[in-house]
Amino acid sequence: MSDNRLWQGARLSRRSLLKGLAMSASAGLLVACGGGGASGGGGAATTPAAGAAAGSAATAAPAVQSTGTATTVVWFAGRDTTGYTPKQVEAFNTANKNIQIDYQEQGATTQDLHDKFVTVAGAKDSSVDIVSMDVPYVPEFAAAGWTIPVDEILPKDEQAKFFPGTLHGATYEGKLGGVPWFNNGPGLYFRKDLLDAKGLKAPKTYDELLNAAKMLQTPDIAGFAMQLVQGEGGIINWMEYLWGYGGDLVDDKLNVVVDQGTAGVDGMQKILDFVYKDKILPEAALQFKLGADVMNLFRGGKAAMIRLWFSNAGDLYKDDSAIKPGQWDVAPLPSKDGAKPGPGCLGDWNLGVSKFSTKQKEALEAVRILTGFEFQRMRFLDGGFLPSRPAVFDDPEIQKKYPYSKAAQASFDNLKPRPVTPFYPDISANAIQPTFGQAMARQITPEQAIKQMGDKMRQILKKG
Amino acid sequence: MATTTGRLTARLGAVGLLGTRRRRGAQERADARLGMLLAAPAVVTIFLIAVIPLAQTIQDSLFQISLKFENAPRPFVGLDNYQLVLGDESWFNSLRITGLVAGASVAAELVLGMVIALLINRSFRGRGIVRASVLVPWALTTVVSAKMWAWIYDGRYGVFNDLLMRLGVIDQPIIFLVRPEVTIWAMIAAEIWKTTPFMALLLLAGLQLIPHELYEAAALDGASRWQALWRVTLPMLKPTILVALLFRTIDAVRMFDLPRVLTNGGPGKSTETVVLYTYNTFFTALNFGYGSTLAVMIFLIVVFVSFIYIKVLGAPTQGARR
Repeated sequence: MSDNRLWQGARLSRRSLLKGLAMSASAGLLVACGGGGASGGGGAATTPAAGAAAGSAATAAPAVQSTGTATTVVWFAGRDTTGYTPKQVEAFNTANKNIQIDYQEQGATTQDLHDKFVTVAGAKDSSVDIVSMDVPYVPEFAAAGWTIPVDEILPKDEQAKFFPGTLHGATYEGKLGGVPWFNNGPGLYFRKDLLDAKGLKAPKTYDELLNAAKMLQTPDIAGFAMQLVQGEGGIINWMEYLWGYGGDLVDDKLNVVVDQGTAGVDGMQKILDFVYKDKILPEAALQFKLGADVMNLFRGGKAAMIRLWFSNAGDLYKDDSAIKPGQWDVAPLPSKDGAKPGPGCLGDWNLGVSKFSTKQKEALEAVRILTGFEFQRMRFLDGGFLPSRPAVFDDPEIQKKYPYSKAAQASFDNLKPRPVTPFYPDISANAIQPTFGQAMARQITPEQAIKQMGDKMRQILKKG
Repeated sequence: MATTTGRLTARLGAVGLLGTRRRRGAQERADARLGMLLAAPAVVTIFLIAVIPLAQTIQDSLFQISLKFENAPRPFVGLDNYQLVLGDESWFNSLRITGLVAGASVAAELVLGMVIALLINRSFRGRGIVRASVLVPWALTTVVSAKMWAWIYDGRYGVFNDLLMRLGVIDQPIIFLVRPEVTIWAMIAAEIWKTTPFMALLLLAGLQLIPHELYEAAALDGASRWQALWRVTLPMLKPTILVALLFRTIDAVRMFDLPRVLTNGGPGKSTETVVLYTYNTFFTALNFGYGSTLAVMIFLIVVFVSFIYIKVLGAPTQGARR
């Protein structure tokens, strides 16, 4: 040891080396926290069409080289498990010589897309031009100043050609934060063959739903199913019951009203009874992260009725579905008294343009074309994505191919957006999801859950 | 450039990374210069990717920065954010969870890792294959193994439920990931499975450094195998154990990917670790000022943990070596 002069000269003892290591390791951690590039699946996938299943890395359309005078715009999108969107981008690129789209899917879940865009936009980076937005992200990004208003490509007469509820969900402080690109809402999928055999009709009230589920239930087939995961996909289902019992999260002025009256507690109790008392809803639904989990149960013949998004219907036409067309149908959601269909949560997707884009003109033009009638019609016909323009439903070819399109259209007239405020993602993640999750796991009672939820929501809204 | 290096060296000297005491003779000075030159690229890299962001984060932690609204003011709030942390129930909750997960998993990993290391340190037929296969869990990306465990624990299709049912331990499947009292242990088990190989690998390296003569001498003195383990192996292994514990504890404290994928913090907030909470503060609450404060807190915790380990475990080691 003693003849190692270099070692002695530098006097690097084990101790100081360790200290140095510890310092750099912890500093590295801090970078990981502050810098942000998040990875990982899981999380809350809001709309199944784009949230969808875990699996391989993002599949991007072939990157387009800008040729001659063409401008290439970058599109940040959620994962499309159907694989249809890349095809539509190709069609766009072939048809438009001046604008080329470089389509980039960001991670497996909606949350991944959100976090990626937050990272890029928070750094005022110009590498994104177009961004896909789930409903809650429209006000969030608009308020943060990360997207620009898109009113100029959608004059009033053009706006009249969209579903009003859908457009309302994309409007923040009087301005359009994005253009609805495809529409989505929930319906009650049911096994027509099983219901017919018992002489039943599609249930119109919560009680009819319960009775039908009890009659149809076997050890092998669940009576009813929907997502109850502690995540966006689960809380939406509770929200529909909250609305169904006449309550709401906040009023028009963003005052918290969820804990006023009994709607919140009643709705939550109803769901808990379905699971633990009536046992018509399998407990496994508490871990259904994706709409696809519910759909797989249904199309595998393991559930008689499910509440799910219309956008998931495409899977029932696939060859590997155990349930074939003719065996199933979709009805509007049941409600408390059956006078009219139960309220469904708006789950559409919007296209917006980044404020930091250097090609806003081209990006806006691309959004205009992508959300136009023809592209929406193609998207429904070939990809199964429901349109945000009612006129598309009138197409005879579509009515022939999708027998449920009339039910979907009817449901779209009855959609309700989640609170249109930039606080919603915070409220959802930190006030609603944890309390809902605890209530579903029976750690706390619905009364406690609603109270804690209301308190936390007020705290978040006050903090700003 | 020269002055920058000089200043850097002085700073590092101050934190004890490079000792600068008692330099005598031209030869020693030249050696020291060479040493600094060789260390320079690493030091510069650390400065760029660690020190600068660290300084930035500390600075941000003194401001109220919300990205929710465009052009929102970013007032300087001094230590207010730190005061908020001290009253933040969610943070203390995540701290408790992190402590439990880190404590339980690192303790189990140490015991299991030691057993595995002792086993694969012996020579037997097929040792190479066993050594390689032991490493597989650690080589997997955490997100992948977390997803895998999510399936294993699944309430309907999970193999773990199936096993328990077949063995007659339970008659109804348990939805492991939504039962708060079970979920955290399910997560700890997944963590142990994944990182025990790392512990075993480090300990194995330490075992191989112990000179064989020591065991021969112990055997000559009539020591049993058990005594040899306690009196020779463990004391000689102490520096390695320290490093392994330090690495694993720091790793466990900053655990993020496993809970994010396996439970996303649920049910309720029962598996929300400090890093996951910090992440949520940044990315869902868009609270970059307070988020930075939480990040600095993690940094302080890690420094504290390192300090404790080096003080408590490091000192006797140094004494023993003299």
